[in-house]
Amino acid sequence: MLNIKKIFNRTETYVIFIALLFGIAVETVSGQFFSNTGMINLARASMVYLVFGITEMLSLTCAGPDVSYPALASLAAYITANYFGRGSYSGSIIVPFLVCMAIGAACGMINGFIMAKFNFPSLIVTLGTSSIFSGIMYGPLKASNTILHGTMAEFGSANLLAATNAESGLKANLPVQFLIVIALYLIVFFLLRYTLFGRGLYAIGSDKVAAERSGFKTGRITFLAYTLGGTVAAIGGFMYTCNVGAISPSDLMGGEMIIIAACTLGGIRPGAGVGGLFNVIIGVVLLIMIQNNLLMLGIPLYYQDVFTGAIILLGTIVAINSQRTRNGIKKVG
Amino acid sequence: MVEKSRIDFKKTMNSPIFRIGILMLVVVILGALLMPGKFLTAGNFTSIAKQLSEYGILALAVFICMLSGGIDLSVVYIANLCGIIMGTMLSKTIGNSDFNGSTALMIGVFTVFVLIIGCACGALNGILIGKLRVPAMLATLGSGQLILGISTVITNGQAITGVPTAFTKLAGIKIWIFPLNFLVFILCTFVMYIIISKTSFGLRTLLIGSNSKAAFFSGVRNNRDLTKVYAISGLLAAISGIISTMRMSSAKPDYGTSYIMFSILICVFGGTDPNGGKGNVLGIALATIVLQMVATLMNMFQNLSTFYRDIVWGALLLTMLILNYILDNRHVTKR
Repeated sequence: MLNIKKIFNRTETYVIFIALLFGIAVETVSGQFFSNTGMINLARASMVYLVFGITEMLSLTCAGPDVSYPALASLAAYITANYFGRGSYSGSIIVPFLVCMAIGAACGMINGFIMAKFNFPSLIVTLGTSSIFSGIMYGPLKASNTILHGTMAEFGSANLLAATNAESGLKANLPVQFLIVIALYLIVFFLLRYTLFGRGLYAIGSDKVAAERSGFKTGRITFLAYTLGGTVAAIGGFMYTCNVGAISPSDLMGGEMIIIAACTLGGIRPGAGVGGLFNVIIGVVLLIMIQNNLLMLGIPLYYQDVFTGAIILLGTIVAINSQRTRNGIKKVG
Repeated sequence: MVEKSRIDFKKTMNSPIFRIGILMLVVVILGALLMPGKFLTAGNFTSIAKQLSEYGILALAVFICMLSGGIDLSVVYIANLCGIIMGTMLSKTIGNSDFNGSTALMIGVFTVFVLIIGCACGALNGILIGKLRVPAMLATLGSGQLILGISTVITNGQAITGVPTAFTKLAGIKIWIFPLNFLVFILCTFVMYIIISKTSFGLRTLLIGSNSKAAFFSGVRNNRDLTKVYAISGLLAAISGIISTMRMSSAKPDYGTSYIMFSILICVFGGTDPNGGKGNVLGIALATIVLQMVATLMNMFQNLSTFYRDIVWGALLLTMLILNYILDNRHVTKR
């Protein structure tokens, strides 16, 4: 009895329920959703977003939203691709991958330093750094679109799985990069669950002063969280660039709102120490499902923003109010 | 007596307005030295005044929300929605007719209608934040997306062009060297100053911003006041949208999305505490003017790409945050 009640009080339950309903709706209209190709397409489409979701989750749990990661990821991926993706480099993929990670970590450290040192809202700090990152990319580095050559392009087009739908004859394939996503999720899961860093992250999120009093080095943990976030975002940018097979610096810009929306939909409360990787996955998958399948339901593309906005609003209202009643505390003010 | 004047001097030194004033002087001198005969001209100041009013008003809209401890990320989308509605209605009714009594009446009626829409969008934010307790950032993020979607549906994703000239001509009105846009901005600043400094509503907003729990227990109806705060923000956004449509003679659902970042920059630059409860309207007005001056000055260097401006804005935002923090905290520890 108590357990059932607990399940119905969780945000996750509602999100999964909505996702299933939506999936069934798409399936009845088009018959393309619960097929092998439909699933692979969903995994492929949400791949990069899942990686960015980790960055956003780290920032959301300990402080607040991070809006700098699209610029950060683009900058790191652009520098790497500009150096290694012009065709002259033909060595191992590991080298550009590590370089990209290092650039991302360095950029993340800037965020982390400011966030750890001062008590500013993360939204405003990352808005500032985002502007600097994109300014550097377009100004001194003169970023522009080019086709990718060499190892990076090969890595992007390698497939892990390929499937053909028996009925429609449509083909779908899953890039090798999906393994990176799985690896990242395992690593971050381990960090969050079994290390002092992960436990401290949640402690800071729920009460910074209490975390400090109980011995967590809050400054260091915040700094590490943003550095890790920057590294993960850079990996996302790298994956995206390889996958598209071209250097397109402006593509990722403006994506931050969707990821923040996905995370909060999934049940992460900004700056409250509530949330985990599972929340990221369900939130991202639900939003990607909706964005990719509106056309299949016969809804014109320009209705997409209305749906996304309405779902963000409804999702957060339901999530926040269910949480308030669950805690049994009526907060005032 | 001497002691008192010393303290007052210290106080002025510490006020953000003083810092911005100094910066303004530096920018003007720099401009005069680097671009002699180009920067310090009446024409240049008219163009500065013309450009700054749109996002100056948006900054005021973000400012009042920041003062109450929140933030409004939907202002740009509200402004665009209002601009689109205004443009569509005008081209459907007035068409190509000249400016006369009946068109003036039409423009007046539509303006009021659009302002009400802006107010309603803002009030929706306020209800979400006050009554339903959605964090301000999430609520305005979602409503911004929703409003963007509504604008996209209205225009089928295209830009509105060919706004009647009877309306766009109004943007050319000038009083001495001040264009109409700028006068509207000054008027908005003045009204906001009165609201925040001279009314009890302004005081309550500041109280909610500095400690919403304390405000609640001292008898402030947080929900009602927050709804009002965001309604005012929506109203200002609508004014900005109308002005922008008038000046550009076009409107687009996703026009000027970078203005969100820019208006937050102006707020922080003008000495507003991003955590709420502290800020000054005059600071916002001065910050808007200084930042537009810097932008104009940078535009005068032909070989400097506009993207360098982004670096400068970002760096300025962070420096200003840290500087304000250090200066204010030094003040606290000394006392």
